[in-house]
Amino acid sequence: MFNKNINFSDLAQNLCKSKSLIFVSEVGQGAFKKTYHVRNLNGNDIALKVIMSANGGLRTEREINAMLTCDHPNVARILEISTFDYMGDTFPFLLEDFYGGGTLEDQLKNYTAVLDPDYIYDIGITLIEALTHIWSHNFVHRDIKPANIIFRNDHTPVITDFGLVRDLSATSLTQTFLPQGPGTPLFSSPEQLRNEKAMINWRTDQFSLGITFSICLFGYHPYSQKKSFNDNPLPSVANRNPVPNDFLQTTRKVGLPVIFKMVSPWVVERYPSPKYLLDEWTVQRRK
Amino acid sequence: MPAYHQMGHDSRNLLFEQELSSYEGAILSPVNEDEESMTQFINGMHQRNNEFIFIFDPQLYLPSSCKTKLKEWNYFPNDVETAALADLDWWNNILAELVETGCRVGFDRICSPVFFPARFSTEYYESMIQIGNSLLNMIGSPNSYQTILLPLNELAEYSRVMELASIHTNVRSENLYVIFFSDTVGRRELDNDSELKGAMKFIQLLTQNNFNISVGYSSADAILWKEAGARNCATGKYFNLRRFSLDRWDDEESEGRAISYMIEENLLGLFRDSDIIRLESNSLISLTTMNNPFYPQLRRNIDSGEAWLALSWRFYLYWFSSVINRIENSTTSPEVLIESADENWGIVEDNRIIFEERRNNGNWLRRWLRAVLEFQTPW
Repeated sequence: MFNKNINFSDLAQNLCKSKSLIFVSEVGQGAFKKTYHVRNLNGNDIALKVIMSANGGLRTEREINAMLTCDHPNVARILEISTFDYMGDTFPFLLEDFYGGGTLEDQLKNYTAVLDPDYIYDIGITLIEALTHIWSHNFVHRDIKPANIIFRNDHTPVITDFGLVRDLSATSLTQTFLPQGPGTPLFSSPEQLRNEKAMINWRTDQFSLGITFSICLFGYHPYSQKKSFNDNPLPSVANRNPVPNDFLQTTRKVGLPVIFKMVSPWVVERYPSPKYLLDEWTVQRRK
Repeated sequence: MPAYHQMGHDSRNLLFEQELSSYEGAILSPVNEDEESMTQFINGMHQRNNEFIFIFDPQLYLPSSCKTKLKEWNYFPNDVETAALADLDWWNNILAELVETGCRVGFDRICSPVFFPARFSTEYYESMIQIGNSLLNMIGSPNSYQTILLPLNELAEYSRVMELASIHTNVRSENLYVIFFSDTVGRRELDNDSELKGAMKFIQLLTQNNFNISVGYSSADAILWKEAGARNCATGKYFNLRRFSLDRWDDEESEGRAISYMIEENLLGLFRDSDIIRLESNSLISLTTMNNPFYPQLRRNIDSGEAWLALSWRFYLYWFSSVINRIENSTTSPEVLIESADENWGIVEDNRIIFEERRNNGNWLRRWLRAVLEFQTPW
């Protein structure tokens, strides 16, 4: 149950006091939690994430479990998990590493800029490796997008926000009758948009990563007919229309035709294994 | 050697024959055999050839109507009448027994159990994959095979094929044991080109996803599955005179065994006594048939009026492994085989050769050819 009348900023500041942390600023809000920038007494920057639903929930449990299971330099790390009592309710919260280099979304400047192919190639390798680690634990992130790719001060990318993670070895939490499954629609795969749970696997993240790269490189979604960020591609994605053929030519021009296959409308047509994807990513670029 | 024996009643002796030694392994069934005798058989075979692979199909397709020796096996559930077949915990108990049985008997591989559902829904396939993944957790890959039971009419539409193949990317075993079935009656060939294209596309897509596909219960149609990328094909029982169907557990003894047939590669069809003589007089007997070690005796038996049923099985099994191996090493191709057979059926028509069975007319081959030429693009 959400606590709509709670002042979460006040809650976070009280929590900081009780933990001897310095409240710096509010960073953002997701579907289930609010994130704050805080600092410990040693001056280390930390992300405080307060779960907006008192007593947490299964999704939060899955998120925490995924982050505790993963151990990779490019996957966000949990420092502490605990609860905080506020206004008669108990709120779970997480302390995670805080990354000061901004998000990939910040670099796109409200989706008006495009990024250099060499840069995308380099961070692509790191991100595929990080996702390979996540996938090796049978997790599907389900919300890969520029806003969830955050940078350390040394400019290395980190995958964050496991709020929608799907643990393939556990029972699904998404009801089959829902018209759409969890995910950010613009970056979602057809199987997410259509809530086809039986098809969700690591290839779902592969699709979202491909969309992320497309938008970073070309400024538009590969399924966009008008090649514009403002064009709505979702009906085409949901209908599984083929990716326009000229998109393949576009990806070839930057030496990354691998993206064309990553965003195939059918799961079975994408790259069959993380290793294969990484190999193709590096080999195709060299060509 | 990508051909497998699909073992049935009274066919185990065929594994020991010198001329039929080019099989990689056999798919075993508990339907007509108890655990003790199968253990002895496997031990004996492994002593002769340790590389021969025994794959066990637990045959729980329709457990509630089982009337065979299957019921005597340890893993066969005693609460099948009341069990919730969608309950993974229930299946996990069966899998544990199945794995124990497998260790005792000495199977090299075990296929995951699947059952016939009331409807082949997405949820059904999802459940079957869960069962297969559980088996994999118990015995690892490559020891486990994910069984996929697919009605061919599910595959007639391109989008459904893509959907089903996508769902099956969640299989964690690297090996798939695929059984296509339809309402095509025994002795007739599969002849719906949309369904055949769908089956071929399904195989191709999953092969491209690094799965090794073995197609069970195949016959001459195995050449289609090989063209699509199947790693192995297993012989159907009695040349698919009896196909894989719901009633096959009730009466293993009778049907399809009374009449002898010879498969002729030149026409990719099955022929009876007098047909073979007509083929000969019209020079339609292939070199492959001439070179089949069972042909001379078979031919002599026809002349003398002696029974040749056992020979016809052996002839077929030799041909099956031979054609699969020739396709595998690229000395022939399904397209060439089908095109050539289709042309030869033209000769049959031009020469007004009348075979014993009215529907033995080669009409299915144009559909097979269409499937081979068109399965890769959406239809």
